Amino acid sequence: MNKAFPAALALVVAAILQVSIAPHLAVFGVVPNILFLVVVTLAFVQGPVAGGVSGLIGGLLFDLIGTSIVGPYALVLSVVGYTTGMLSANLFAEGWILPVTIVAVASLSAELAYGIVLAVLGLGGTFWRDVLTVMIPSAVYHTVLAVLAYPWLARYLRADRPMRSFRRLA
Amino acid sequence: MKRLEIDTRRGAGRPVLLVGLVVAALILTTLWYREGDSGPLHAVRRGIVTVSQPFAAAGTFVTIPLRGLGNWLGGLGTSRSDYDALKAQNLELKQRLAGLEEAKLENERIRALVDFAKTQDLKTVGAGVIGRPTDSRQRSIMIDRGTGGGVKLGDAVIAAGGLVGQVVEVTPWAARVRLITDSDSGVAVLVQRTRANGIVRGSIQGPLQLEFVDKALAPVRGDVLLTSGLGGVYPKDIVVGEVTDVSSQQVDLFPTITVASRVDIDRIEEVLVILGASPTSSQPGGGE
Repeated sequence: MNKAFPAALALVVAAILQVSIAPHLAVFGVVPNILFLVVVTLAFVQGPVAGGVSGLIGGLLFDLIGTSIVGPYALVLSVVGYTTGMLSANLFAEGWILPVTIVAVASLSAELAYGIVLAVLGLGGTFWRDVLTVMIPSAVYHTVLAVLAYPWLARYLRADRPMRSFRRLA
Repeated sequence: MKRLEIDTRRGAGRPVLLVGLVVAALILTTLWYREGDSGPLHAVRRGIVTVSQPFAAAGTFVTIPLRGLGNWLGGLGTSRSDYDALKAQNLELKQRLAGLEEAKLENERIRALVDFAKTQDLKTVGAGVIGRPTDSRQRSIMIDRGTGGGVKLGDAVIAAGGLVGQVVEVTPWAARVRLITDSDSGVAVLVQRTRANGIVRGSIQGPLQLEFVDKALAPVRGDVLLTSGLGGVYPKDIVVGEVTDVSSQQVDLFPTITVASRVDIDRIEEVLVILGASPTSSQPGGGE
């Protein structure tokens, strides 16, 4: 089966969930970024090319869903998707710890990079306060969600290489 | 061994692709800045607002039980035995009461909204909130009124407690409102007591900040802020919030002033759109 179709479908579903369900899952103002989770999982199971391309598309969707300028998150997520794909492909993972760790690092990196890009463009709030109130809480939240969602997402996105257990998925 | 081969192949990065993606993203950003409100990216965003309206509304509806669960968890202080004894007796009454209570609350909220609009002598149209912020940084809501209901880009949005935000995207059936708590939002205000002018800005952290107020005219805790009408975006004399904290160092040019909105923006369910407010740019920071 063509790998692009499930990836595209996952991104569309993630965008729909981002506008419908994610706002109601906000914890202390931190809204989960479902598009980010899908992009990182794609990068993890399909490599840097899929990670980078899906990052650009997913980031663009995220920018278009919001109210700020279009482009910054597409830039950030394409780089994060590509880098995550490179990392995951070159680190042999046999378990769930590595994917979850990579999600945590990728989330924090994406939030930091997005904060920097917004600051450069003269947007966003005070950078160092954002680190404490948005970036770190978002990274923690995404890591928790990754523990729950990664096995299912990875199983779906790796349909061409069926796995019998979640352990093998990682 | 097969798995290792696949992983090695997947690991073959393409730096040229990465550069291409970065360039593409930069082109998109540049295009967004240069194209204006009628450009293709802005049109796509309006299209996404239109398409996402039913999903946002469905999400609000579907998550009612989730919010109910949250309320239930908040009320776990009641003893279990009391709860069981009352449960059977009150089940039917609760169901009926819930419907009546919801209608009563809705009635009260709408009455407060209408009264507020009357006192302000504003031409308004009511709207329901169907979508919440989709992002930790940006603060916007979606409402179920669009150009079909007379809503225009740049219209101010209020609730019973005061100013809520400004329409930044509008379609025939829905509109997106940037809240005053958004970090890109700016509202020209004056302090009711001292008549000092300033700008209220949102922040990701939550509280509003009042900026550029002369130290000599600095407000004190409890002072009320009203829209000044400067800039022509928001009508004059709408309540924006109350000063909750004022601090100033000798070296500071302006005091640091924290403001709290009187509107519970995170839980708001109905709003009024002020019709006839001047159209303005939907670009970030395009408030006043």
